Amino acid sequence: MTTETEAPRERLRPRILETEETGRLELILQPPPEAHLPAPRTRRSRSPLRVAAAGLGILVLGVIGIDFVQFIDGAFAHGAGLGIAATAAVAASCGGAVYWLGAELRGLWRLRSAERLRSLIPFTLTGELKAEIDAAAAILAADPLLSEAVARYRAVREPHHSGRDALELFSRFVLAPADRLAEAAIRRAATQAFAINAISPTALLDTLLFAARALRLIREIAEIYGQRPGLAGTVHLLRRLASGAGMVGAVDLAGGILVQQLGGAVMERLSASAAESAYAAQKMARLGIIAMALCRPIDFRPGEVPSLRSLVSGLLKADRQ
Amino acid sequence: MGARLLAPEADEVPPFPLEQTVAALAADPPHWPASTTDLRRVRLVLRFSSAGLLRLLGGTAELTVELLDYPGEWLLDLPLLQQSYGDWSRATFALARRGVRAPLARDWLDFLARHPADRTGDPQTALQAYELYRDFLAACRDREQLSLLQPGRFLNPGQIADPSLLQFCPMPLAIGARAPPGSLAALMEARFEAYRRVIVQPFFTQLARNVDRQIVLVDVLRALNAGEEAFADHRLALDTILAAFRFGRRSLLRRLFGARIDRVLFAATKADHVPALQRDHLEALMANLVEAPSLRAKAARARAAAAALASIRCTEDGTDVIDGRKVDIVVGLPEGGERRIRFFPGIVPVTPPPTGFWGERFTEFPVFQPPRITSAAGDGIPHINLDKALDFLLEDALA
Repeated sequence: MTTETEAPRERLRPRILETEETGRLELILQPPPEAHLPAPRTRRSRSPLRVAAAGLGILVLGVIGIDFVQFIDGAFAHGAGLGIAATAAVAASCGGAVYWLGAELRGLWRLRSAERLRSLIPFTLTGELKAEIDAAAAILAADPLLSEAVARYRAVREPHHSGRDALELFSRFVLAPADRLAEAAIRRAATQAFAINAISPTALLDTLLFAARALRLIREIAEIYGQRPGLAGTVHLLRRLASGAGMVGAVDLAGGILVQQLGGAVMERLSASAAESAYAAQKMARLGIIAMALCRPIDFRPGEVPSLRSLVSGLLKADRQ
Repeated sequence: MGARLLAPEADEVPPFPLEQTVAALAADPPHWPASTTDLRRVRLVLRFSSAGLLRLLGGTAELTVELLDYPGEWLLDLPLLQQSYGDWSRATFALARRGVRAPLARDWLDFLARHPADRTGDPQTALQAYELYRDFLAACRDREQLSLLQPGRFLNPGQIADPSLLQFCPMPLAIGARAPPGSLAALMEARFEAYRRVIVQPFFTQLARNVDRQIVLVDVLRALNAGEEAFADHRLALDTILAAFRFGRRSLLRRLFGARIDRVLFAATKADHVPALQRDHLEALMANLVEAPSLRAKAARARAAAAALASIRCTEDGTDVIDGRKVDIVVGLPEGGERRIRFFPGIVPVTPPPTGFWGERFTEFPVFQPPRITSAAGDGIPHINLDKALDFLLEDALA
């Protein structure tokens, strides 16, 4: 018996092919990626509010310090044992404060590392990109929710992979599961925003509850992307959120499309109150997407941004039923 | 935020003709600048908004960048500083007697056979031997696309006040043997030493004093398509040059006693001759070729990276069907032509190819016309990865 095997395909050699096209190329320069350059600083006079806050802060610290000294001194006046106990209590409180400060700084550092990485990636050579992505993986590896995903990414990443290959694998194995978790968190928050708006008796309470839920959502999303922000980190995120006008624009556009698509058929059937609730849910979802964009160690690539429709449509369906 | 060109300094290094070069590229039809034939310098001041501690002071920062451009062949002289005339001669003869070099070296070797090394040295014989050797090097470069062609200045001499400094060539000397005084070999050796002392040493001392960032441009694509021997020779030339590089982290002490290269970028040129999907391959191949020097640089706490680079992008990507297979190609207008061509550069491997890879040589690489650009400042020129290369080289200085 004989078997015929297909001859191996010959390697294609370089070649030049003629065309009928004429004229010089008109290559359009791509707009440079947003560099997040710090705005040029102009010399400003010190804000009176800041000076006052700094002065008050020093006063409070001084009062606390003096109180501690007097507290320890008073305790020693009643006996050595009590003095030692008071000293230990003060030391414990100082230790706690230092620990809290350390945790705050660590959270802030993680946040800054992710931001730095995001700004570096568009400018990085593909060879160096691997190192940057590995740094992002190291940030996410500490996250109990994503440590397995990072391990899977590390298992499939081979030394011969280029930076772009590594980015593709990282997006597929690590960021995609993280995105799914973040989307689930946004859906939960949007549902709750819908419910809060529906049952809240006053507008003020509605606003306060919405703000509290929004804050929790931002922290949840930050934690999903391995940030674990403390108070300072949350403040930093909120400031970035407030200044993320470009991203708001992109999400607003998606929101507009959502309203266009749902508006005629669905919105008319909802009561005025339900329409407000749906709008609150949409706002929450929009906030969540922006928080995702801020916390992701790598920018969204085209097609990766979750649509408002996918996040809120289930909710509207539930309401209609 | 801004950049300005500094006026040339009144010293022996002539300025790089930046404005003329950009104007020639922006002309219709455009002209590529001639290859670099001598050391040129351009100094730029970059003004930027610092993201580091300077930001707290509220001001902008300035960085002066001095770019030195010189023929790449001159780097081949760097290893000569560590070799004796005898060692260099023996290594050159060993190379000249094998492979594609052997038939090209025949005239020169025959001449040396008729003029033994211990015969009385006279300048006329030395000149003839030098000319035959130089012709042999030129044939190696032009016909066989070889790269390890020493001394580097024989094919690209630059400005040399005394041409007789170049009039030498390798002579057959046994290991441990010394050239008899007054012999042809002694004359050649004296000129070799003078060449090193008067031309090579001062040039590299000047570079070592001033240069701490280096871009090594390598035409990997051409070497890949020039055949197995040319590719191997290219690798050998790279290894030989890079073995002589001094890497090390920048420090004040090192600045006082001669700088070391603390960032080196190995750039595979002609990235625009390769479609986007294969550019990563080109970069990976470049990284693979310089793996050993990169490790040496990293061990010395310097940073090394590889990139695929085109300082002017002259093509756009497209697809075509060749032998029934859909392939990515590049499209561009060849220099002097009126119709655009579609160029398929072959398959670029990510590692140095095995023996079965090599086929017929392809040396007719198209030279594409640059796209339409303007010479106005700030308009920009299409490129591939130049921004990333600059970021790698200057990132810390611009922090």
